[in-house]
Amino acid sequence: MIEPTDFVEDTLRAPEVVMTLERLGSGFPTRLSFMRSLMRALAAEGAEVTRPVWDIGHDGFGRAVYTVRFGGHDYSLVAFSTELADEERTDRVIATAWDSSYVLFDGQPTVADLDRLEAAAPRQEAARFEEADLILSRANKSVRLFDHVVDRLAAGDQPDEELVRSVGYLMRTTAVYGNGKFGIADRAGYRDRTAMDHPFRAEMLTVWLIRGFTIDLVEHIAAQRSPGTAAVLDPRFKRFLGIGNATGLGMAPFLISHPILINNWLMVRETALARVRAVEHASPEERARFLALGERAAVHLAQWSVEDAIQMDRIVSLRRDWAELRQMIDDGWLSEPWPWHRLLDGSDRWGLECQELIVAAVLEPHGELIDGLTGCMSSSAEPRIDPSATIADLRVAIERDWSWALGVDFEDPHESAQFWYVSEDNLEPRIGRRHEEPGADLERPLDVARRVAALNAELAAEGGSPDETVAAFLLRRPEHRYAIKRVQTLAGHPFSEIRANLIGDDCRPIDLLRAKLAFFGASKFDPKSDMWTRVTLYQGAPVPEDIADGGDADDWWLPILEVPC
Amino acid sequence: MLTSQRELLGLASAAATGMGYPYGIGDDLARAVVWLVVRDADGLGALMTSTPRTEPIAPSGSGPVSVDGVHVGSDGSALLDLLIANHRATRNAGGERMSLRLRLLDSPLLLIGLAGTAAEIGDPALDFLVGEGSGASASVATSALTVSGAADAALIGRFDLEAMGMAVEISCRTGGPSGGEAPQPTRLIVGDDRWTAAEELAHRTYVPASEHSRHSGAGAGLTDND
Repeated sequence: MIEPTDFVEDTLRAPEVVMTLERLGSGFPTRLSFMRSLMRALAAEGAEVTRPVWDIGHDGFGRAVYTVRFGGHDYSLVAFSTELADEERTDRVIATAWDSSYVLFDGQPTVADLDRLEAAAPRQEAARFEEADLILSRANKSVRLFDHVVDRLAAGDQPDEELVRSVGYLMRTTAVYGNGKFGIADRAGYRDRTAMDHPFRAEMLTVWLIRGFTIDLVEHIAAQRSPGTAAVLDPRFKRFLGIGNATGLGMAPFLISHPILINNWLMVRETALARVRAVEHASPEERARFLALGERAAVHLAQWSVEDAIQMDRIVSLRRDWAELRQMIDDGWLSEPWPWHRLLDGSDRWGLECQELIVAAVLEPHGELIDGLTGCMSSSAEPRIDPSATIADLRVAIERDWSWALGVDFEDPHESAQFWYVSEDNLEPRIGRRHEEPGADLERPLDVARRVAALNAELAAEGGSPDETVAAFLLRRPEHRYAIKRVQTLAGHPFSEIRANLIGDDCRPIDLLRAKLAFFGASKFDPKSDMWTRVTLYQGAPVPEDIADGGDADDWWLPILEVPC
Repeated sequence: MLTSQRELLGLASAAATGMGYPYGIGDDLARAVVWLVVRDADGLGALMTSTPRTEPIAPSGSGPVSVDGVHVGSDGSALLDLLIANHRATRNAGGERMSLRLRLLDSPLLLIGLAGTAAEIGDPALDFLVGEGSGASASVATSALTVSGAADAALIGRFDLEAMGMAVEISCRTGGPSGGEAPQPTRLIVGDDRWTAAEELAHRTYVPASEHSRHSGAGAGLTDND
């Protein structure tokens, strides 16, 4: 007899399964993702977005303010739209100008605040910001869709449906800065507010408001061009259009430098999964929901096409796997005991992308069971040394938790082929080829596996007393402090470490990016190389009117562009 | 320069790396810098006064551990670790308070910052006494820093660091007076000269720009007009 409690406590997927780079790089958004939980929180309050300032000219340039009261505080997106020459339009960190720039302001800005921000926000990293400035961001137009939508609306028509579907957004954010960067507010100053106590909450709010601005902007330009005759966007398109995001290597180090936070994200998701596994009988509503979402997912996958050959191959395989799954599962299959456990348990017949899509799918019908867990995803804790531990303790922990790192031969040039660095060129994060390029002496510490292997080798070579404390060892060998912190942190936080050699030739940094973006709630991963991806955020999500109207804010997992009735 | 705690933390960490401190140590030093600046002390100055050690440290002496020639940046965290580990062992055995005797410190103020961060995260909370018996001492509690012994030593900036750097005893205990709420200023003030010097140190950690790196290092093209 299987007891449900066995699942909750004992069937968390093992960290060595969950934390491989390949699996993390196959992740999908779930109902626990940060954008989803934000939409639920806004809808629960019936939060209303107002637009107290709209000072945008006929050409679409100027400034605007959107204010939303959320959790007892006012937050205002201050938006600036500026002219940009095509040759300056780059999504990379090396950019110095953008089509639009934004600040999430704490409260309602005065005219003086707006004037200050108008001088600063378009300069982004080159400017200084103040305590009331919570988030700094910028976005570039999707030139082909933005101009197309304006042209068609100005002509009194709707945009081409296929183009809307294939691009999916009017602008792409290229950076969303929070937590003290360039003088903006420390997250510690507002993270205890009711509405801001989830990871990246202020950033997610900013991006959602930017999405609304981009829709208003195309309608405004079209109306200015054709007063009285311009069309407004079909609500279907408004809902479908998300906000793009271009992401490079800058996102990856965060996953390495915040191990306890990452542990919490994964621990919550895996706990949610264990809870769902423990459901002995799925209700008719849960079964119907899962089957309906299975059908939607199939359409979503059919609408997800990319130029990147590797990702496209994966999508094609996923489509095939998902079709097979849908063939196998019907209401009768789900009516048998332990449906979700059986489904998950048998999912290894399919590829990793399908396995992780199943994880996301089975969570969907179980909001009441798992949504409360999102409150456990934050952490401000930092890794600490336990100085009282002994060398014997340390060696046991390394042997137990780090076999994946100790098995790598770092003398093999293939296993240390890459190095992560920051270029003096606008401080852009980059990757170099260790044996072909200069700069490896300045590499960033993403080589965690190599460092722990070196620590292990040092401990073995020293052959010192197993009773010696870590403190005494560190006094002699302070260069191992970083590795010892990682070892001790992983011992207490099983999902804190990505189990991969991040400097090996086989490492695909894009997997790191996708892992993080999936937790944000991004979809339609569109790699431009193995270091760079575009994604769509908030596609299918409620627009501000939907939130204020109290409609369903939660039914937008794997969005599709619905065919009009 | 008006800055945020997080921005200062990032700059101090990069500056420490630029000075030659290993990752792991640099993070601890950066937290010490922020801890000091939050309390109106010259944290970046304390960091930049320190020098990385090139040879392994050699503690000596029976009873209280003694160290001559302390490179606080390199040794400080580990010395405090040792103090804490010894304190725990002694407490468990019902013994007395442990202490370290340090001579010739290159940056006593940085040691106070490191003690401050250790006091914040100690489990259970720890208090440190730095410089007891030296004529100028600092009590570093979970949330507060108080200075005594030196003339008009109400502010850490007036602390007799030179005298203290010659010889200092540091000890810790469990759960001393908390000193009240820890300060949580939302804006920090750092001297422009200090800021500029730290940026110059941080700059040492950046790889020089090159056309090859610009084209191949980020995995993306130079324009996005699609």
